[in-house]
Amino acid sequence: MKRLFWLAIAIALLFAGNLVNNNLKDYWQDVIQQCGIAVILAVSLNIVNGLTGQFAIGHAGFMAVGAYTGASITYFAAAKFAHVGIPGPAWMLVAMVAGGLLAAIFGYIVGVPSLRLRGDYLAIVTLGFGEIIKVMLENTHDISPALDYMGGATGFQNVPSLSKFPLLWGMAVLLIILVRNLKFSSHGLAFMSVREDEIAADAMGVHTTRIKVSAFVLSAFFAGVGGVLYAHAKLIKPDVFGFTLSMSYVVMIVLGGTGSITGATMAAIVLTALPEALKPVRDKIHFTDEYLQVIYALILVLMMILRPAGVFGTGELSFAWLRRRFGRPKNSAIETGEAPPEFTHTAGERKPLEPGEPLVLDTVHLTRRFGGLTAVGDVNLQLQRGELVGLIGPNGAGKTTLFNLLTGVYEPSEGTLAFCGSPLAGERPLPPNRRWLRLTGDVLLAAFGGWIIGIILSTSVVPFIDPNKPESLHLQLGIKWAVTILITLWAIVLAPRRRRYLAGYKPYQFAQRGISRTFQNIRLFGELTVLENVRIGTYLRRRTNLFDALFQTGRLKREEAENIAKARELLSRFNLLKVENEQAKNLPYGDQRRLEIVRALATGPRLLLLDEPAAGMNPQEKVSLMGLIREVRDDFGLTILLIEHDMKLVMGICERIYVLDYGRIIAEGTPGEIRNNPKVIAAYLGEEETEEIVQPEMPSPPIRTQLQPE
Amino acid sequence: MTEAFQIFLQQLINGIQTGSIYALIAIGYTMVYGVLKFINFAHGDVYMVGAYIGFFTITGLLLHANPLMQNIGGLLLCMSGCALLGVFIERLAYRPLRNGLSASDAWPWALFTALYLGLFVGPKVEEHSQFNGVGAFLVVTAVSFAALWPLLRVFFRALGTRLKPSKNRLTALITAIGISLLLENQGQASFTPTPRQYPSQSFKAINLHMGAVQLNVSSGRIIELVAAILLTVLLVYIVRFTRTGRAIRAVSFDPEAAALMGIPTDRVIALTFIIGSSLAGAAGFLNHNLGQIPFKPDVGIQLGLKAFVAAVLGGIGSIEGAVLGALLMGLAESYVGGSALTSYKGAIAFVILIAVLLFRPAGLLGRYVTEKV
Repeated sequence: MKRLFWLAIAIALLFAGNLVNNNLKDYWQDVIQQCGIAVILAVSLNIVNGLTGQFAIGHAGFMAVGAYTGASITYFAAAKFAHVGIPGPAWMLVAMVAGGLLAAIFGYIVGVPSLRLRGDYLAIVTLGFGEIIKVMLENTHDISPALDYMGGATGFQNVPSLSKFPLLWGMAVLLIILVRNLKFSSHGLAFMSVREDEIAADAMGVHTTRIKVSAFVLSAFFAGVGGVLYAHAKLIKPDVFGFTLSMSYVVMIVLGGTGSITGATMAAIVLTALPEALKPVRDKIHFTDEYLQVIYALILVLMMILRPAGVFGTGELSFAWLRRRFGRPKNSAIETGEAPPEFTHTAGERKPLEPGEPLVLDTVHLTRRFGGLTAVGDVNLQLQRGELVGLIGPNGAGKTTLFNLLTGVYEPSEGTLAFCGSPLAGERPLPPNRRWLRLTGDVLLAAFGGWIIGIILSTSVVPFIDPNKPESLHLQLGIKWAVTILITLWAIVLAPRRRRYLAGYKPYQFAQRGISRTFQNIRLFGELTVLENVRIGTYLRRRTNLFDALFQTGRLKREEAENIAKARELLSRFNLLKVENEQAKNLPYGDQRRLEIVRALATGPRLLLLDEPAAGMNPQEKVSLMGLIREVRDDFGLTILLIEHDMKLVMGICERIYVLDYGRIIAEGTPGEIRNNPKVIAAYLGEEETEEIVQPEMPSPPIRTQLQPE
Repeated sequence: MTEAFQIFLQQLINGIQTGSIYALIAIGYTMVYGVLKFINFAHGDVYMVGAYIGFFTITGLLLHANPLMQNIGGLLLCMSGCALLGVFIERLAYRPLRNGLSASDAWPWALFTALYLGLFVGPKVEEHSQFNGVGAFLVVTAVSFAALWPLLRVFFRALGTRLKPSKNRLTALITAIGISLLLENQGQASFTPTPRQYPSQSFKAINLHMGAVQLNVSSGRIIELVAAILLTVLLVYIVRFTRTGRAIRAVSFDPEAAALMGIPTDRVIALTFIIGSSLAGAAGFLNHNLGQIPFKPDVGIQLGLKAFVAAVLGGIGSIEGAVLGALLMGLAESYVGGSALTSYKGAIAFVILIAVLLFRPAGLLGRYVTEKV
């Protein structure tokens, strides 16, 4: 009911706006139209650049794809189906969907290969894409004479002007609402986690590549829709959709505040309308357009120096914010409408081990080499369910590398890794059908590439040969097919050797299967709040999809409520509930460490890997942390492996300890055994004539020789 | 077949020649990227300004009476003018962005404002006094600079304590775009959009006979190519084998560590801008003076973009990569321009770029550094 009410208000406002709009001068109607289009484009670009933190600067390319598709549809529809009597606006809807979809497909094609590039490389590929689209549109005649109606470089003539106020601004408002819905859902948080820290997001079970591609496709879709609206408002020419247009949208979102929908909207409106509004002033003081641009550029530079995060930063203007800012200060718990939950002790007692139950973690000969250096060599770890095991070793022993192997950040050079009985990493040939599929895919791709290169080469000899002789045609065909066949053969020879077919799960898949970790150097999502950090942990157990998030379905709301409740329960357990609305980067160090543990627990792991959880804590905090780790293990039925340098802590809580030195396990046993193990003492304090510890091929680092007793 | 071979060779020479110009510009992109990790979009416009500096000094001071003065003098003037411009841009926009505003950033802004005041108020002063145009401009500029500098010092110092410098690279990029827009539009306003051409010089056409193959090359273009190669070699020498070069490489590897080792980071960055911008100026001069290509104030946009693509193609941050990428692109454009696909000449650069990045994500000679966990 509440939604219907708001919908009614929105429609009423839209028509009221339309009424006002229709009574304005044509010139101002035009400006308002331009603002609407700019809003759509800026908000859609914000999905990629703001929310996901990628760096795309070829937005005009997707806009062009949408514009030309949509314009083609209405152009032909108007001619062919005039007698059926379908009204223009209906065709507009078809055009918008089609334009959006085609742009989204282009987004997918561009996004999948290029999103593995980082930062500026991605930017330059998107820029290149925009330029290629532009050149293609300029040469439509060469591509096919059937496309001549698009007009090539002169522009697409006779597109009906159907971008009326209610449609245009209706779309703009709809887009804003959808993106806002996304931003505040846990799906949106997953987008932002990619922006904040990709490695941590991966470790929390967020499939970063998929998130990036989704963001890219979604953004391209809306850009396409914006393009269709543009095509029905102004004359479209290929050179309109150039670098300058793309850049103007980037400028809008950066000025407004990357990540802020309000900012993008405001900046789009202001930057579009302001130059128009200033025109009378400009004429009065006899200013030329160039100087207006100079001033604009200057404002841009000053703005970046004085307020680099943009006007709104990543924040939003909302009723809640207004209330917080200007109203009575309220307790955060009251604001969300519920009291902090009391933590109830759940399991309490461990289920006894069943005979024949697979080990939680079982590694066999796990090895990782970097060049000639064996960082981790021949490690056999066995963890039973419910164990609390320590991993110690001098600096540089390979503990963190081992953790990275156990969480899929590195692939093992040798050996295998099994989790709860199923292999996760290590050499294991792909099942034959997948292997053949990959091989065929590689070869087909190479053949296609070869064919394209062949065409390019064979056409590039055209000016050198006499076209009238039959031999020249043979030569051309010969070149084309020779190149194609050679490259295909090359691929057939190389393809089976090129890839090592490892089981190769990625970190997010490790997380999904139940291995969670914390990091030695804290990797929280700094700009997000404490609660949001934990909510990202719950993201991988989601049952909803992106569409639920965009349209705020009931299912999503229920899930969000559940996740928030779960997150707050965990936070209260670790005494962090009072800071749930603080930004994670503002927490004190000890709290940040604990928050990392909470975030890892939120993923619902079976095996928890803690990398120096007590580093930087004072003795009191360490004691309480020890108790907490043991409690967590019992209450959640976890298995825990922890790296720690603090011997008191390790000896105090671990039931079993592995000692790593030079990448190899040199001892294993109960704390008592380890304490008295001569090898361990040697590794920590150094001892002469311990040939079996110091590998002959590896010279000992200078620091070690200094530690040796005289 | 000899005819085909002849065209092939001709295109090869054209390609290398275009490539060498791209290389001079691309080096500037790659060097600034190396030390500051951002795309200096204003670099293409520095090229444009370079071309105009050469044009106006040569036509204004009648340097074309003497070919030596026109070519050597013009080149030096262009390079030094652009070096000044590069440093000024760095001081005006990039340094405050990087380090936050401080009192030492006052002079570029004071000078900048004073120049504009001179430009606008100067003519008014000229009307009401006995100064001539240049004199009025200078007087107004000097007076307003003297007035503004202390004022801005105080103002910036107060402001600087409240501002945090930004680590966001998008911010730096937008600033660069702002500077680029500024130069471009100021160029439109000051130089007018009419195409200009350097005073023509009579260069001997060189006929090369190699068996049946005969090539005609203008000696001007050969000089241009040689000059470009010499400058590139000089630059590589500086960066590889001198103390200054080592400082530049240290800063590009890790600015904070370099600063801790006593390298004056800011000065090294300014130096990078000097080198990069003077090479862009040289490119502008060589391409338009010896190549006799007419130009307009928007000439820097497309050329800058291409040069940047060349730098990325070769692996941004690597100077050898920039040269290699630029040559490849020059060749590709020249061959595609000569083939049936000539209308796609504008897109070929990007097609190659995307193809290369798919297989080598860090460009041809770049290194892909994975983040440590």
